[in-house]
Amino acid sequence: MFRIAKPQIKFFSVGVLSMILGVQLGLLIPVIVGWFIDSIVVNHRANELWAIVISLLGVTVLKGLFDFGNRYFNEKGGELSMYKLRNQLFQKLQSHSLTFIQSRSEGNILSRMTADLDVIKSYLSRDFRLGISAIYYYFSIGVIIYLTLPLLILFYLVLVPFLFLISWVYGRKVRPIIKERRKTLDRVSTHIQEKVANVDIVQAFTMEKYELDRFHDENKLYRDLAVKSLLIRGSTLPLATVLVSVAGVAIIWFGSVEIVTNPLTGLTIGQIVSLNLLMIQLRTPTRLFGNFISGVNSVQVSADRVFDILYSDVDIRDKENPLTQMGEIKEITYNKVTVTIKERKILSDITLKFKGETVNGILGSSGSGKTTLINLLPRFQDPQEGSILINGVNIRDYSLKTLRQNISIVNQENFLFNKSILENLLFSNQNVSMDEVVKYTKIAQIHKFISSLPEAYDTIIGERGITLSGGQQQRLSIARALLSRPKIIIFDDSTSSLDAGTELIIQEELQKLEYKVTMIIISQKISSVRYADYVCLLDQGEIIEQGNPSELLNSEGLYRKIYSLQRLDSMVVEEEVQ
Amino acid sequence: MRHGFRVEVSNEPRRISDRKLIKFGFNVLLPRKRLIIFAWVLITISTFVNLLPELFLKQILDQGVSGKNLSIINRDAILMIIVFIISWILSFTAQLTIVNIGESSTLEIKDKMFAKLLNHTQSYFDKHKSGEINSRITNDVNSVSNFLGLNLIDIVNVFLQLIGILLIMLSVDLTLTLISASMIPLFVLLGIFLVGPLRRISMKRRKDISKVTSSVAENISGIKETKNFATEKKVAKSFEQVNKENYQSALKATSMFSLLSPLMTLFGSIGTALIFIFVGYNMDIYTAGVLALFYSYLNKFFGSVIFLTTFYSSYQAAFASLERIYEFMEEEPEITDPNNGKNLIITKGEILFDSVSFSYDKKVTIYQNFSTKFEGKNITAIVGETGAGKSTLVKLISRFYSINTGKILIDGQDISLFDRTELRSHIGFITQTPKLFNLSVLENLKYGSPAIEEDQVIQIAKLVGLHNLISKLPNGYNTQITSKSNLFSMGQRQLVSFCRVILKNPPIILMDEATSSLDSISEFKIHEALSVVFKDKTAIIIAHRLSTIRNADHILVIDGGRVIEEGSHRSLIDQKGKYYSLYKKQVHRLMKVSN
Repeated sequence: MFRIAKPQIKFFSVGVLSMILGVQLGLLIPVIVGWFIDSIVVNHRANELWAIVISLLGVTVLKGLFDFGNRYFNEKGGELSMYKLRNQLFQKLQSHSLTFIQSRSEGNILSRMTADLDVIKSYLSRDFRLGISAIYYYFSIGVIIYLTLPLLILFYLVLVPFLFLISWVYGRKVRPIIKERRKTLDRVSTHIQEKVANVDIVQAFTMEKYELDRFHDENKLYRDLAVKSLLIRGSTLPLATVLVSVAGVAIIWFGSVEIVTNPLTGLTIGQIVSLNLLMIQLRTPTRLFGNFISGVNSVQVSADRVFDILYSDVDIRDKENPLTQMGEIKEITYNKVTVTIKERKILSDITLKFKGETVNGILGSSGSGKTTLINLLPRFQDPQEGSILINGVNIRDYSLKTLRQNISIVNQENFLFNKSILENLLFSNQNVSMDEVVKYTKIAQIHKFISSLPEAYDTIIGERGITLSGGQQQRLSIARALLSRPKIIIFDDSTSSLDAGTELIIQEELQKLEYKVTMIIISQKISSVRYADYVCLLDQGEIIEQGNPSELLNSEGLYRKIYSLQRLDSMVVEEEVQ
Repeated sequence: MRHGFRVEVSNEPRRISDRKLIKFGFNVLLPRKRLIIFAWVLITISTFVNLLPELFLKQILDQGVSGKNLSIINRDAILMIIVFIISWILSFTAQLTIVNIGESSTLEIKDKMFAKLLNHTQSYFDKHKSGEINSRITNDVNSVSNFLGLNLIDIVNVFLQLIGILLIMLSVDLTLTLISASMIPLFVLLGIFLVGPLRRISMKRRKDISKVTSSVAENISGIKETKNFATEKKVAKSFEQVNKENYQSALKATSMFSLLSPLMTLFGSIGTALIFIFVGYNMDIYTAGVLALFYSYLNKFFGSVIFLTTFYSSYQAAFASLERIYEFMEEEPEITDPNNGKNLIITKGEILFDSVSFSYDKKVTIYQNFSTKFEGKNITAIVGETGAGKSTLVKLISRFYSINTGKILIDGQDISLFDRTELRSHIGFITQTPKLFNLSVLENLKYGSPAIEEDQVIQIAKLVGLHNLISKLPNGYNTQITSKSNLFSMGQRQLVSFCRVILKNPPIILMDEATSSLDSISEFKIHEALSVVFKDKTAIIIAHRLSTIRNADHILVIDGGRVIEEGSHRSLIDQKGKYYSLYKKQVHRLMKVSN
């Protein structure tokens, strides 16, 4: 954790130094009050009055300055650390492979970049320094007590460990409950979100009562935890306060008796008053010390989660001196490619060749490994065995940037940013004219829809804007991909939400694309690869058939079987039409 | 200082009067009035008891020490300890009571809100986002609960304390009291001048941090596109900008907040200095005890004043939350169930639309005087272009939306005369994009029929073709589904949905693009399975695929909110109308493959 704070060490040092000076000055105020009582009230030494008043105000002003410095510099150090850390995390995150991100889930990564950073920050700039200040309080007050009433130091030395113990118990017992409570709250939230998103299912199956009961149980747990944490808190921290107060009384009692029975010791009323005030000042650090102790654990957990992103190796990166130019595509070759995830073979021994500037189809049912196969091409994932070559050059020899700028994938579900339609379209390539944008939205059959919106291309989409249907999202994503003028474009089931007519038109339009492109179309449906020059059939990670569609149709394979199943309709209708 | 400085943000002016809101809050608390009175009594006592130690200290110093009276010292020291212990017990009991009141009311409100939520029709969910609803039930309720629990106690506590201190101070010395009180305006001014800017800067901070969060969230979700188009640098740059803005406003907020406590301490010290000076010029009148008493009280006194000056903003925040809860509770569901416990009796399962009109939001008209009949124990397919209102039609049968005029009858019984739960218990509904819940696989499969045995579930899972997949999972049927796990593809989720409906075994089945994500082979299988299930049931099927439609007994072609063609597959083909052209388009598509 201190690794994070290190670059800002100068701010933290100034902050902690100011804090200690501030604490020390704060402890002087009760002493000044005692001085006033002794000099003015008891002994009537009027000539010291202004000295007292000026020291009081002087100490307060100085203490104020140091307090400000304490908060300001510690917070600045904390915020600056977080600012830098967040940037580093973000950049690192961008360079991690998709496997890395998918294995940790989006929500999890998000909470690392927000909640975990908050935990670290508040410990760095608050709990940690308050812990230090508590220790300094105990020490400094001990010194003052020793200087005023040496005998009482024994008593104080007995008291302090008790206070530490209480803080410790509090930290150990209450923090876990608070954590548990936060988790319960998260579950309640999830429950609500889930039920709202699927209210049609809940209602259709008349499960309202069931869901209400589950909701009630979680909330009841939440309430019980609140009461439980209060029970523990109420029996620890106030106990420390009571102990401190009782100690204050003991000091008053001891001192008073001492003055009455043994006036020669030179103990004064003012000293008693200031010792009592000092004891009152001990309450706050005692309360906060618990957080210092218990915080260490949680901050370590958070730091580990953050470091997992920051310091784990990026498994996919450029080699040294990579190629930054990619010529016209002549061929794409997969050479004995095998992908294994968690001991399960997703792809085994795939060898295939796509010719440049042709249309290629990959057919297979869900789970056959189609998506993995094409994720390898832009290196979203690297295969464990085998190699992939573009124009005879291993794709690992190209820089990632070059590789990916030349390849665009359109998925079944595409992410669109919460920005205007135009900004989304230009995400891939900003140097295009509006005419060109329109040209490609027309090819993707989405221009008409966009123009029908009141704000046309400036319409904001997503959470703060309009919601697009699945088909509209797919068409917009196709346009976005086309705008980046890739040399290779991959359609991964990207027309699944379109009706038959629209899909047909887009496919026909794509034939007329004015730049040279190699297309790879992935689908379950034979009709989607109707224009393909080459088709391969994937089943459970293996290529079972490949070749030209008409060749495949003439062989007695699975292609033919699927074909006849999907063609059944057309045969029936052919009869009927005739 | 005992009370922290609270600055909360409320963005918009309120639409509902405080009086209504107070009444609303009061009604929630009313059932617990005894506990509340009990808590208040405890707090009142504890507040006054808390002020006693200073009085004892004064006695010890003035009468004990100065008067050399040991018995007073002993007695008052013991009394002080007793007071501390009593005050601990009192405030602990009070707090426990209050947390109980707050949390129990919260529980009750949450239950009511959630029940209300589930009672709403689909149009409510079209209008309100899940994040917003969630924030009302969790954040807003918790903020009100905190206010009820802690702030409301604090305000009473502080107010009483202020009065107590003033009374005691007055009884001890009038002049010193007046000098102390003269500092109040300074604190009030500090409160007034700082609260505004602090609130603004806090609001800006909160906005900026949420911008950072949403920027991270969006970019994580979109990381595939970033990689796809190799725009990492550009994205990182725009994030840095947002991050920097957040840092700057955090720093600004910090410097302002850091000013606050030194200023308050300074004002306190000025008050103390004034008292010192006055006492210095009137040395003979005052004793050490009086000074010690005043000094201690002064700290508490100023603390209370600060709290009062800033109380307004926490009150504002709580009321803003209360208002959102109030509005939530006031929004009545579009459909009120008759709650008569009447049973819908289904013999044939014939569904009749009798001049039904429906529009979303009373604006976009979907159906105008729409009438049609779905024969009982028949499979009817609905065909039409995207946006023709096919989904709406089946949703109206389940009363997910409420129709404007007309009637929908099942076996001659108007469905609006029955509770929705009663109606829906006879209907199975399969949607295009079914979701799985955070439950085990088994519980997901039998969602809707909790009482069913595991054997039966497995049998149906085999029938729909899910059993093999499930057996391969680490914990089989007991595998927990979480939002993170991606165990089931959309097609498999559709199969889960079939499983649920088959287990429920209702006489009427509605399918809205329910097989759209299945590959041809799975679809073929499920159709075979369904031919058994559909026997003797009324089914309405919306589908794109011809193979699904062609098996229907009857086909309705819908366009512009009207039935434009209907009949059997063969008769519609012969008619050479809309259906024929839709059909030809698909066939055309398929035929191209062979050419």
